[in-house]
Amino acid sequence: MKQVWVFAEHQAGQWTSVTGELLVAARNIADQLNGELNVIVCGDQVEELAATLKQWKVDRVYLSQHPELNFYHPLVYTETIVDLVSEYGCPEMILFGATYLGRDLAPAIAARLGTGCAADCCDLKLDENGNLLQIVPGLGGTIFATIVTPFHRPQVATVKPGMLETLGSSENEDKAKALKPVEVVKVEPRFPQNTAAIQLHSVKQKPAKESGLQAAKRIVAGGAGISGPEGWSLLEELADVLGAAVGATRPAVDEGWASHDLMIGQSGKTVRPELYLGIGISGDMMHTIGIKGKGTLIAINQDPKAAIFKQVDYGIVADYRSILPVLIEEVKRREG
Amino acid sequence: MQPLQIAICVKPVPDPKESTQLQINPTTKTLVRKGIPLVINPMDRNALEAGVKLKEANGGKVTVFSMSPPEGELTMLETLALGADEAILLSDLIFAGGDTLATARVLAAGIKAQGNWDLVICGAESFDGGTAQVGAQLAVLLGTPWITRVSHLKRVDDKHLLVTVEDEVEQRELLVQLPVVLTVESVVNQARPLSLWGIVEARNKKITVYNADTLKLDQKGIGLDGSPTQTRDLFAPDASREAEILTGDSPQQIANQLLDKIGWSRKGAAN
Repeated sequence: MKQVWVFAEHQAGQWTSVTGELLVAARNIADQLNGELNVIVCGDQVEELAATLKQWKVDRVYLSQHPELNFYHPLVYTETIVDLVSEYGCPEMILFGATYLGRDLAPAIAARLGTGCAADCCDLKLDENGNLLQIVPGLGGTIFATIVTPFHRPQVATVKPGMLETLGSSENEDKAKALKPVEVVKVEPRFPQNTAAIQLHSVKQKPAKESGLQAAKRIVAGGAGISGPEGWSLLEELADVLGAAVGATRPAVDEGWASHDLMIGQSGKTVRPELYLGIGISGDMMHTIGIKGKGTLIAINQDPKAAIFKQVDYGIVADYRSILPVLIEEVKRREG
Repeated sequence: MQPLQIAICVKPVPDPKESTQLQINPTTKTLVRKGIPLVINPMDRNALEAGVKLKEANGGKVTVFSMSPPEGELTMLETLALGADEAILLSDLIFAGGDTLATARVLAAGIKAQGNWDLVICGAESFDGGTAQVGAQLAVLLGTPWITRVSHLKRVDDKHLLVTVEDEVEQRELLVQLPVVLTVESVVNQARPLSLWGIVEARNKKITVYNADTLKLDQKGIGLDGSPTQTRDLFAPDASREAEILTGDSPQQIANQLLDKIGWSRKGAAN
């Protein structure tokens, strides 16, 4: 039977968000292939967590537990998963979240197995022959490419967080109560002889830099067209009166007007706001790929030909400096 | 401390300042770089800087490896002016169009052909491809450990480096034993600018060109045909919305229209 494997990553005792997204997509793909959805879990004391995978109708979990697996060791994780492939049969595909860990581990496993790895996919589909169509944004930021690995198995891919649809979690948990428990196969981790070449020296939790951007219902985002810190303050003032979070394109971050954690797009965050207002943003896909959902999108840009006007619901062709101050005043006036 | 033999992998990329000029070859589905000046991939400058700093501290040799068409030679010259001792250009028509694994195979063959090494440093990702995959794949092929996205690095003794990496929730310091492959972020250092003296010195340094024959590479695993991944299709983003352009006699009128459209009335918003 054809197998679809997902590497289920957890941080601080919880599945990463992209793990849930991958599992929904992978279940779907496995069903289309009349195959099984099997999940790899590595860690220390993660058996209870692994049991929660039943909400995604997982067929089997390959569970590798060891105190040393608490810390991501590239060699140990790679060899443990390469062992799984030789022990339990080569799957059609192994999917990873495009997190720090996934982007490190997936290409290494692909190289060990001599197969292909598609990076940072934003969508996954199957073609009529059951090949995985791995949709990646790229080549300068104006185009999508469909990557296939036609003659090698497994097909390895990393998928960018926030790109695939996920189910509501409460709805999932309710359903899960009725589902049968997941079959758990315990597997030994593999410690290659040069394991000691990488040793954990210290760990520091990063301060939670929650900008609230990903959960924001309203977002005011700025790009290169803002052209200076004074303009950026004006944008922040508008965001403030609208009760919106501030977002940015890469050029705005590179200019230093906004911090890196406010970046939306290919190398930043994926957002699903009800209201998005983009100011001085050209509409390069590197940014707009990070705007998902069915919210109302608005753009203000001086250039009537800007690509952003083909991607939004309402456009204003004007210098933002003339619009923003009156917009701010009008919002305040309407607020009373 | 002992001197180190350091290999730096450099990718010549289209100048980021000219990236809007990029085009796609519809047949091979690869990037057409013709006419756009090539520069050192920005993060590879940091990789080179890290290597040159280690050499300046304790001696050794910095060798740059690059898989590139012959036009990459000018980029090689630039790496020599920035402090590399020697550059190896891995250049052959059959290398063209390789994916990350095919590229890693060529780089690994080049590094092995050159002899002993203690440390390989790559930029964390390229400006144009951006997959960030080559470093880890190169390490697998060389049979050594790897650490990707290093933001800080320090040599602690003859055989060990202390490196810092960050994932989404943690910052970790790792003690790594040489030989190792590292990929570095741009924050790892401040890359030095070109100096006149560096350019003068570069003229006395050597650029060697290796092709598939000199590297004894099996053609089955390299170039477009030897790549496990293929680009099947390229398509423009689905421009699913066409903006209704709001116009008016004054900014005030336009602002009012916008707020009416999104249903922003008294007591806050409604969508």
